[in-house]
Amino acid sequence: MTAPPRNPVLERPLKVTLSFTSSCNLRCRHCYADCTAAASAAELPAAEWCGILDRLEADGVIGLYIEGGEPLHRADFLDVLRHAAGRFHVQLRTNGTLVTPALAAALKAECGIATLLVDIMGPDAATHDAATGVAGSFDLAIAGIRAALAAGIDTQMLTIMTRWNAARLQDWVALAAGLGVATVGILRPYPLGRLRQRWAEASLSLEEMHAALEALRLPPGMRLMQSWHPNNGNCCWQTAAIDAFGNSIGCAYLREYVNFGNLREVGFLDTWAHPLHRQLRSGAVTESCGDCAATQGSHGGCRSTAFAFHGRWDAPDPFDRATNHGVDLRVLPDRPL
Amino acid sequence: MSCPTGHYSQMPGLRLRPVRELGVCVVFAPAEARLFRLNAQSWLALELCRGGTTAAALRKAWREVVTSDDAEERLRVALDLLLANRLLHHEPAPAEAPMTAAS
Repeated sequence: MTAPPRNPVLERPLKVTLSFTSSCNLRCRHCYADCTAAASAAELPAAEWCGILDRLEADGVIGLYIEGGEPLHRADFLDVLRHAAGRFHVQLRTNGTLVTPALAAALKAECGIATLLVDIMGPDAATHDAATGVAGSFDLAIAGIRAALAAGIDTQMLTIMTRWNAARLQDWVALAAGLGVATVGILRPYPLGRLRQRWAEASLSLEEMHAALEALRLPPGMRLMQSWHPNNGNCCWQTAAIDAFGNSIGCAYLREYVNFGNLREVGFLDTWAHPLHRQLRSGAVTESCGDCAATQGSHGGCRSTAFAFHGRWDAPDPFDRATNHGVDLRVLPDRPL
Repeated sequence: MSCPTGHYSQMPGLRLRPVRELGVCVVFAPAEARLFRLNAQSWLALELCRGGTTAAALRKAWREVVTSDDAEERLRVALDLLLANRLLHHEPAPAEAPMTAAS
C-alpha cells in the first residue's frame, strides 16, 4: 500500500456510458437495472438521445459504451446508433439474443460499432437460462455471437462472477474459445438492482473469487479482462454515464447512489463539474493499492463497491485484496440508500 | 534514413480529440472503428497534415516546432507510425511512384 496520490485530471470526459433503456427481453436474477419488459414512457426517446449525442460530441466525447437494460430491445435504438456512426467509437453491450445475421450486418455496415460485448452467464443453457430466467436465451445469445463474428464485428464475451457460475468458468472459457471469441471479461458482481436482493446467495468471498480466477487456464491467444488485484483501477477519473431517463450518474455502477442532474434541465459539462463528481474522479481515497495503481494509473479501486460496503466515498475498495481488511464480501451491510 | 517525400494527408473522417491535460491526442478512425492515443509528436505530425501537405512543407513546418538534432528522425518515426495505423495517406512523388507492369 502507498499513500494515495490523486488521479489524472480530465477537464472534459472522453468516454460516456449510455444506459440506453431499463427494459429487457430477459429477466436476469442479477440485473443491476431491475429491468422491466416494457420501456418506461419516461425514458428518453431516440430524438432526445440524438440531441444528447450532438452535445456530447461538441463537448469532446469521443467514445460511447452503450448498455441497458438491453439496448436492442427498444425499436428506436438503431436510429441512435446510426446517429453516432462515424462520430463516436462505440462499444455495445448486449445479451445477444436479438442479434440476428441481418442485425449484425447492420451493426457493422450502417452503425460502424467497434465492439460487441455479449453477456453469457454460464457455459451451457442450463446455467445461462437459470440466470436470465428465459428458456432458450442461451441458444439465442450464442447464435448472436456467431452472427456478430460472421459479420466481422470484434465480439467479446462477458460474465459476472457469482456463486452460480464460478465453478463453471473454465467451461465458459472453453465455450468462448470454441466460438472464436478472442477476448473475454470476467466482471465483479455489484450489489445493485436485483442482485442486491440476492446478494447473500450470489456473492463469493474475495478468496473464492481469486481462487476461481487463478484456476483458469486460458487457451493461447485469448485475452482475459478482469478487475481484481492487481488490475483494480479507479475508473472514475475518466468515467461519465447517463441513464435511460437522462440523469447524469457518473458511472453505471453508481446508478443507485448518485445523480448529478438531468440533461433535460442542465448541461452535461455542468454535471461533470458537480462537486461530488469531481471528488469521485480525483482519487481522493484514504487508502490505495500500489500494485493496482501501477497497472491502472489510477488510485483507490472502484468507488461503487467501496461505497456499497463502507458507506463512504473515500473508503478502501473491499474487492482489492490489498485493501479488503477482512471485509466479508458475502455479507452486504444493511444500509439504506 | 530516407527523407519524407511526396504528399501527405489525413485519412478521411478522422476525429481528433486533443487531451491537453495529458499531453496526448485521442483519434477516432471510423474506417477502422478504432481509437488511437497519440503522443505529442505523432499528434503534431497528424495536425500538420490536416488538409494535405507536401513533404517539403511538412518538413519545414515540423522544423519550426521540433528543433532537436534528431528532428528529421523523429518526423520519420511519427510518419511511419501514422501510416502503419492508416491515419495518414501518403501519395508518392511521381518519380518515386511504384512501377506497374503496364508501365
